[in-house]
Amino acid sequence: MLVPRRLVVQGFRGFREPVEFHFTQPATLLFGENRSGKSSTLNAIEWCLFGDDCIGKQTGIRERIGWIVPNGHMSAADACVELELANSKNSYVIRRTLRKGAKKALVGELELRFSDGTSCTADVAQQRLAQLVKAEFRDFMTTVYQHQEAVRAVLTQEPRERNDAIDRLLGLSVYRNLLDALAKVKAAERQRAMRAQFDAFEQRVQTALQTRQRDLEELRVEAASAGVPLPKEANALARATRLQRLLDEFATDSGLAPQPIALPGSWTELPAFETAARQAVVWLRTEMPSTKEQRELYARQQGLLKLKTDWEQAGVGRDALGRGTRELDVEFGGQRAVAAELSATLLSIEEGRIQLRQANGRAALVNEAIAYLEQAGAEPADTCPLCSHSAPDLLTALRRQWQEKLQAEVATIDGRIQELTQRKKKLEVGAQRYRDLNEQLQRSLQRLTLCRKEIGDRLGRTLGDDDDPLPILVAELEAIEECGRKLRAVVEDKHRRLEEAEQELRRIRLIHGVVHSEEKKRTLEAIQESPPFKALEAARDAVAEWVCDLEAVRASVAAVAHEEAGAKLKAAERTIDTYFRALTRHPAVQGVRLQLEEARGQRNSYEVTDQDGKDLTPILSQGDLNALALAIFLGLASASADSDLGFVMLDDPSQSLGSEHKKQLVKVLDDVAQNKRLLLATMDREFRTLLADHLQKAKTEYAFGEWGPETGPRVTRDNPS
Amino acid sequence: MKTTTYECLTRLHTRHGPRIFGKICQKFVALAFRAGGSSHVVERGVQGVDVDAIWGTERYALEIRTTRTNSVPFLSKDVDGLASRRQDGYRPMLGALQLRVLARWYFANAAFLRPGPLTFDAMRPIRHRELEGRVQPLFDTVVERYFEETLAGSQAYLDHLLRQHGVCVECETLSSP
Repeated sequence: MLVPRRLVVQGFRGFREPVEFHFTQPATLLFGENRSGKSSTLNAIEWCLFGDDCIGKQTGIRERIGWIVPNGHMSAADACVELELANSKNSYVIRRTLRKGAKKALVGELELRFSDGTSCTADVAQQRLAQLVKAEFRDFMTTVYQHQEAVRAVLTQEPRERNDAIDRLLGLSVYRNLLDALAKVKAAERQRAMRAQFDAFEQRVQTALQTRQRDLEELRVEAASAGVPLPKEANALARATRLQRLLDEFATDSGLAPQPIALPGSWTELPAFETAARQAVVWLRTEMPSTKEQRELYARQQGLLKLKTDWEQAGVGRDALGRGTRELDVEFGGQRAVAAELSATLLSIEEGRIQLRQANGRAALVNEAIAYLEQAGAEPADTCPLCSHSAPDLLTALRRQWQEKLQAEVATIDGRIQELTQRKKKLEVGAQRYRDLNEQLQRSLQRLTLCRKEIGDRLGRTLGDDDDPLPILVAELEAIEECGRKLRAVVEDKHRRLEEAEQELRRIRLIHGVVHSEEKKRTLEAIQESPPFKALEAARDAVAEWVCDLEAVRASVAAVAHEEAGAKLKAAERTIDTYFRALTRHPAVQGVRLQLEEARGQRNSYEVTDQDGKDLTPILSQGDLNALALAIFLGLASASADSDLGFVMLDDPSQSLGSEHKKQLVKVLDDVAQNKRLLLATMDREFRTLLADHLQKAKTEYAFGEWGPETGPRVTRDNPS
Repeated sequence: MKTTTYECLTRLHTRHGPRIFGKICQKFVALAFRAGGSSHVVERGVQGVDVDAIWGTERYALEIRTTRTNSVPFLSKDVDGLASRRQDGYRPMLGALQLRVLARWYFANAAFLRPGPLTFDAMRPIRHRELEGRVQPLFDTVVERYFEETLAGSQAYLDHLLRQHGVCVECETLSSP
């Protein structure tokens, strides 16, 4: 069995300068406070043997995630650990180095030296080392190096975490990690999500199918009501042929050239045919001669009706003017009389004005005389200045008399002039009205003449003044009406034929709608045959197989983990029981069994029971659980007594143990030391004393002083035994 | 399956209910095997494996399941029944159909199945695609051809039809609700 003989640590973790340890005694104690470098010393052995295998998540040790090997306080240090192992025949020096390479990259080196002076490096050294140690890292953890964390995890009350810890103690982390990784893939969940997406897609297809089916049924009902009980493509094509023939015949009957319409070769060409046929129907309806004739007849009728209306309105206008003239005649006696009377009136007005001027002249004279007399006021006012006769108040009398006579005369003349002026105005109005009427009458007569000419032109004959256009027009309109009646019957018959064609077109369109809807339904059906759908199905198959394979892998891993756990526990069962009872001396526990529960394809699950299978967990203290963890580890270490590694490393094994437990632990270690060398790290003074006093094997002690970043661990050797 | 098949099956399901619908599909499958040239077909409406079919050199024993959900039940008695037929040289198969528009028959090798609810996804890795490819179009044709009469006449009509086509029928016909 290989045992450690010497260890040199330099630049590793908290170490700086080389520190050398010698493990010449059966037991070596590393004693010191927390963070003094004890655990790093044990870690150095582990790293020297297993390199990167003891770093990272796969170790199942949380602190190993992001674990830094080189001393972080040294700027350019290489980590180097040299371990000498020896058995009864040979010794081997293992030297593992981690150098800082270019761009801060770390380059690992391994060298293995043999006692005959030969050596090897790199892959060869790795291979030879594996052959020498004959243990993987997980076995080392189970049977050689008891980590604090592995023990601490057993103390948890959470069953799942305790199961994890026991798995780690049994060296099954790799399986558990695999199972965790497989669980994280969430394959079944992904498959369910994929199925949910597909189901949603399928639901959309189903909705589309229902909609199209409903449309199809409605179209079928419509087609049936239009006289197409079986709307099939062939039916539509036959109808199209018949329709084309019908339109050709119609064109020929109407004296028109048949319109070229391409017959559909399949249902997809039906819309083009329908458009062409519909245009042909419109063209025929517009261009057929009877329609044209009817249109022309109608235009002629409208023209004549307008002329008739114009003639009648012109006549009515003329008559109204005649009536107006006659009314004026009654009022004024005729246009000449008005003119004569107007001339006479104007003369009379002139005469009146002359008389007025004369009267005004006299008045002016008299006024002047009176003014003169008044100016000659020296004369007695009551004597006539002409005859000198006495005339008392002569001027006053004259003025009054004059004023009275003159006023009467002027008033009479004025009144007459007023009357004449009024009459003159009336006559002028009358004369104007006569002139207006004459002008209007002239225009009316011109319009009648024009209208007559237009009627003659329209009828193609000359109408003399003796002809009455109205009866002629009425006769012509009656003839047109009769002709229109006959023509209407012909046109209606033709329209009926075209309407039949249009009905047929509608049926063709309905058949097309049905066939198209059926086709759309078929496209949904074609989804299943489409390459993307097939690819999707293949992908779903692949996923299903993947899920199935993962499940098989998971079940296999679980089974192997279960089987291996069972085998290990069986091998160490008795020792675990012995050590546990020795460690705890629990009055209520006569025996302990670590039961592996029946495999159910899941992770391993353990139960701590007594000899009768009763669950012990509720009655175990933290110290008991710690003792259990130690019992498991030491049991497994002892069970592997035939292993090539003949040493056990325990890091702070007395944690959570009471004095009695510690005492018992020393006894158990004494037993273990029968077959294995012990490397113990502790900060527990009581435990140290117990080891010194009761461990019957010779021992060496390394005391770890205060650690400093600039100094590294301060290690001194003592040999208590 | 074809959309027309899906529509026909949906109407049959609505008309007859899920239980009789399952029996009808079982008979349609038997007819499909016969239509495909199976020399010997047994359809059981009673206890036992639902359909036996000899097709060329292959012998199939089929348990038939239909559902609208994502899984079908596969019972211990089904395992036992198929195991018994396996001893007689038949390949044990589970035929399952989801009544959905984009679904099709799954024929899964029942030798790999354990009793319990079985999802269609779980059947995928053990599907007999070649058999599915042969049976599905025949099934579509059978449904299209006999749908109207089945809708009106149900199982009695199909039993008569199966006998007419030379299928051995062991029946205990259920009546429509």
